[in-house]
Amino acid sequence: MRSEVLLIIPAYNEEASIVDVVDSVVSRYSEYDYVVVNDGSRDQTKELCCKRGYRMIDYPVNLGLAGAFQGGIKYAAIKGYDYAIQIDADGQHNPRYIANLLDSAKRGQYDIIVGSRFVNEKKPWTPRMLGSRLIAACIRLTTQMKISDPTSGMRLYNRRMIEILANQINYGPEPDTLAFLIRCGARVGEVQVFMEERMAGESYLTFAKSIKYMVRMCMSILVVQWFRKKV
Amino acid sequence: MSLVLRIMLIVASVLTGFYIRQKLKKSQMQIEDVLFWLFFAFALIFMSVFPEAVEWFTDLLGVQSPVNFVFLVVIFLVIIRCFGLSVKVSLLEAKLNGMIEDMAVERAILAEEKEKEKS
Repeated sequence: MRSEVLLIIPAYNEEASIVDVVDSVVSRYSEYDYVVVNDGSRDQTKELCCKRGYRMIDYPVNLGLAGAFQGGIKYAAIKGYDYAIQIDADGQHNPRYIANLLDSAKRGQYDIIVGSRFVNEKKPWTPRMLGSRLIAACIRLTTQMKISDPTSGMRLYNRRMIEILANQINYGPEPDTLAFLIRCGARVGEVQVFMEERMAGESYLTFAKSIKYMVRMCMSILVVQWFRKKV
Repeated sequence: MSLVLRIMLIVASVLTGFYIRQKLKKSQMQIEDVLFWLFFAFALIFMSVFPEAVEWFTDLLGVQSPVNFVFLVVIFLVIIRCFGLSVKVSLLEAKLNGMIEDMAVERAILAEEKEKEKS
């Protein structure tokens, strides 16, 4: 029988961790369907997935996280899944929290559930979390909603959101999309999760990129949103 | 406007015209894109053939010298073009990404169906 949830696993050069992540889903969480989106990796990611027979959407070129995520969402939309959740291929997101997220989405009739590290836990004062606080402040200012972990990539979307995300441009899996969807009337909830350190590979965010990311997010949330067409 | 500048503008427009003709002949450009450059070349020719018109506008806008007005017009046209190109590139990227996504998703679904038939 087909599952009602699709795990979207975007993978760009993740040969070191992809097998562990997908194998753990296949062996221990077989109640969920998954799809790997190979975003034009230049390492062995694609070969590994083919060899092990993983379900994979394969891009010939690199589109970036937004493109990889949207491909997974399109797949979910076509195949008729009720929920889709993003699980990073670096092993940071533990699939054991999916049940909690799903449960809370159903009970509270939420459109989006964010797997947050800071519902019950205190947010540390590291430079990275300073960025997170700033984005949270921007979201609170424009939507009056308190999102404790806006940069968490582990987000669960329901059918209504899947259909929006699949067919529009400018709906990447980032905090500005979250903020805009709240302004469009989406109900967003948060569930406590604990994230692992990355298994392998290097973080995508260098210092210069972090600054660029922060500026882009803040500008998008504070300014650009007011001109966007609501869905 | 000095005679030299006027001659230069005319030469530049004529060269632009030839270049456009070349591109059109080799079918390397769409007509919509050619129209802008034709207009651009005409504007340059107009300004060099009728410097009185340029001087009239210069006085009207309070610009210091006619040549500054010529620069202003050129910069303005170039900025408009730049903006148009930015929009175009954005759209192209969105379309290209969408196509790659659709193609890959379709392939994945086809592969799955094939596998189902086999088993």
